[in-house]
Amino acid sequence: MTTTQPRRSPEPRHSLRTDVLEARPVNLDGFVEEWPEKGLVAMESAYDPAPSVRVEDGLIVELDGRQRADFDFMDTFIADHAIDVSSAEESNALPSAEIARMLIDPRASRDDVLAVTRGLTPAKVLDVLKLMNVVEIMQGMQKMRARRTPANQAHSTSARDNPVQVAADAAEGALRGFAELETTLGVLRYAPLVAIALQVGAQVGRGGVLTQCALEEATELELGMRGITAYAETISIYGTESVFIDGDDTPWSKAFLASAYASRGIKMRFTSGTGSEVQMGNAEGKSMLYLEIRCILMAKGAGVQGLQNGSISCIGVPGAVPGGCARWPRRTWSPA
Amino acid sequence: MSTSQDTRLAAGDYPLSVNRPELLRTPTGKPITALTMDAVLSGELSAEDLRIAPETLELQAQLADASNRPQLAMNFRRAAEMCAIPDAEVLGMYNALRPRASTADQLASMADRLEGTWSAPVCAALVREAAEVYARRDLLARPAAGSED
Repeated sequence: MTTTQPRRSPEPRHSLRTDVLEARPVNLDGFVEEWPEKGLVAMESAYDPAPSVRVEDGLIVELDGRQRADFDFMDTFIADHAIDVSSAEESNALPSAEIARMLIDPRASRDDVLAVTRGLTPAKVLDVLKLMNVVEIMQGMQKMRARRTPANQAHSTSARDNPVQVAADAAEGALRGFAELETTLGVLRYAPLVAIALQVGAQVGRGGVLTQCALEEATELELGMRGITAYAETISIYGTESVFIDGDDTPWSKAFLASAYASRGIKMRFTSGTGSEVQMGNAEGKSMLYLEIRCILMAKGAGVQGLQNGSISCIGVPGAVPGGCARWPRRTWSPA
Repeated sequence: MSTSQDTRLAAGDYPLSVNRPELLRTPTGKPITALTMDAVLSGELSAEDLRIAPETLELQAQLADASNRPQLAMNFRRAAEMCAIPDAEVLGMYNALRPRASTADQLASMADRLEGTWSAPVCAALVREAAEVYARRDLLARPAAGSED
């Protein structure tokens, strides 16, 4: 019994600050109802396939419940390029809980985990991730990170596409230690000029900083070929075949493009956007996380130097459904 | 550690510019230590010297193999093959690989050209594989034949 009785008020007390904050428009935001049939679901959908894999003569002939004759091009590319065929059957037979525990167990090394995860199918990866909370996933990410020293990218962009402003901003960004600088354009015709301004400004700030100018695929490659940019990361990929085709590409055209960049000494990563498939109307009834896993495996299969989860143009989609905020946007990844 | 180019690289050789600079050359054969501002100002260096050499991409592929990243190594090997192909043709090939941009015959002759003219068998294999998948998934160009559909 305490000497001072807690004061009992008839209603829960709010500070004025709380009232003001709660009345802000951002806090009036709610979630939309999930619609799994259309893929408007972040992480767990009854329509996501169950994991399965079967290998015959060194070839994956069954992937997540689908036979090879029925593979769409994502299945085919992932089966033939991303999954380690020699360990696939054995790895997928492991209980998902055991793989999830390896990811957070300090006694399991990065190599121990990779020996298992190289062979996992997209649905099996999903099955493992579903068992983990965000803290556990981040713990696993820390162990699995391929890069020795993480580096940051900054944006140097002018609302008026003013090259002098971009150059000055780039110089400061480089001076402050950013490893990469990106610019984007309001008016497409100014792209080469602004890209040159970014490059010159960055090198003045600190030599060796990489720069990029985000544009349509072929134009972006042309700027790189002319030596005006040093890297690219807005090369879009998607988790379903129909949306990939809508983007006027295939895993093979994008793999070819990745090599084309590397052949000119340009660093390149792909971009996927969680929720892009449902936003473009063809998630094929799959959850956003499952489709993101397919994107990551496609990127790995192409041997591209990394993947960013852009999701800038579609963040409204995962942000609107329950569990979607755990899919933090805009992070980059190096291939394992 | 041997300085011979025949020696397979190990993961510890990365980054090459720090640990194995003696292996790195420009496409014109100059050592990378020749890339100085003085050389630029005196006109000894051209834009050609600032491109990557296919030999460097092969070294990067070896580093990727040594780090157990076979897909990254394949990407670098396709890239090494593409160094010799002019910019416009590389862009043309990429566009030809887009959905329904090429017929089976066009993709087959592109693969032959990659293999024959450009000595790019790894790239050719990727294009042949694409042709096979495109045929199965209805992603080849539809014959024009004067029809509207």
